[in-house]
Amino acid sequence: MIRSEQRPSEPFVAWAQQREAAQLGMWLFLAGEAMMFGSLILVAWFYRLQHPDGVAEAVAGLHFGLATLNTFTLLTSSLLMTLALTASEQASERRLRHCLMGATLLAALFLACKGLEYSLEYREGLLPGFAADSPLHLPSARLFMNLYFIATALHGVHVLIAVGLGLWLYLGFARGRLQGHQASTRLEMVILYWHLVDGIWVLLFPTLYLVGR
Amino acid sequence: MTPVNALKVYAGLLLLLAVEVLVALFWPQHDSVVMLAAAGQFLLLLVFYLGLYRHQGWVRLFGWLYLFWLLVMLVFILGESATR
Repeated sequence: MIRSEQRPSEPFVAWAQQREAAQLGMWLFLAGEAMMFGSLILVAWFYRLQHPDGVAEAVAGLHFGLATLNTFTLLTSSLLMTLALTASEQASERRLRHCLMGATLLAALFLACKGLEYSLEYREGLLPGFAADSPLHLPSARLFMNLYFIATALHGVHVLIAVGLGLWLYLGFARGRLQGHQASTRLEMVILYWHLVDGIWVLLFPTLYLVGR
Repeated sequence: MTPVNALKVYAGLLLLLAVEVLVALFWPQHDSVVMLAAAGQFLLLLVFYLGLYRHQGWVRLFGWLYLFWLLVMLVFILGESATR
């Protein structure tokens, strides 16, 4: 396949048309993601209302300080991604690369904190399936920990993909492989994904860690 | 979006995060305030960072879809609490 900066990929006849199609595809994908995580959040809330005592017991054992730090990290990475888009529009490539690298490092820090949190929970016997003598007494508390683990691990996979995309973009710009229309479309699509992953965490954080402490 | 406006939105996001954490720590019975602050953060991200304010057509449609989904969650949660 011939990739040329002069003309868009087939079957598109204009860059604007290709960009429009990419945006439509991305927003469709993001709608699917929002529905998936939205359902998980709904399940968590339904569970909270059905078993308030068990959820309170489980939530009390979670490391909400680390989760707060993680929320701050993700929000800052979203700011850097927005600044990267601004830098791209102003053709400031150096600032664009710095913002991309900063956002990617922050997302990696998020994953490191999440790993630390899981390891602490593993030692305390809170993680599902890892402790025969769990400190959680109520069965509903253990079940809530299953939900917590599924929701946060699934979100972590999304952050891992975001880190990969951030690195891919950074290397593309650093080596001069990404330029012009193609570069701006790809940057915009990755930024859309990034913000949605951030938005999902913004709702997961209070649902899992804060309410009912 | 200009860098200054991006920073203003960021400040709003951090302020709402501080509200969430402080309410959860000192007034844990006010769960609805925590979730309203989270909904505010989600709205800020959707409108300004995801760029809903500058899009037209189907992009705006998807934005409304997300908001509608948020509303469904809110109605469900509040409805369940009220009828309990």
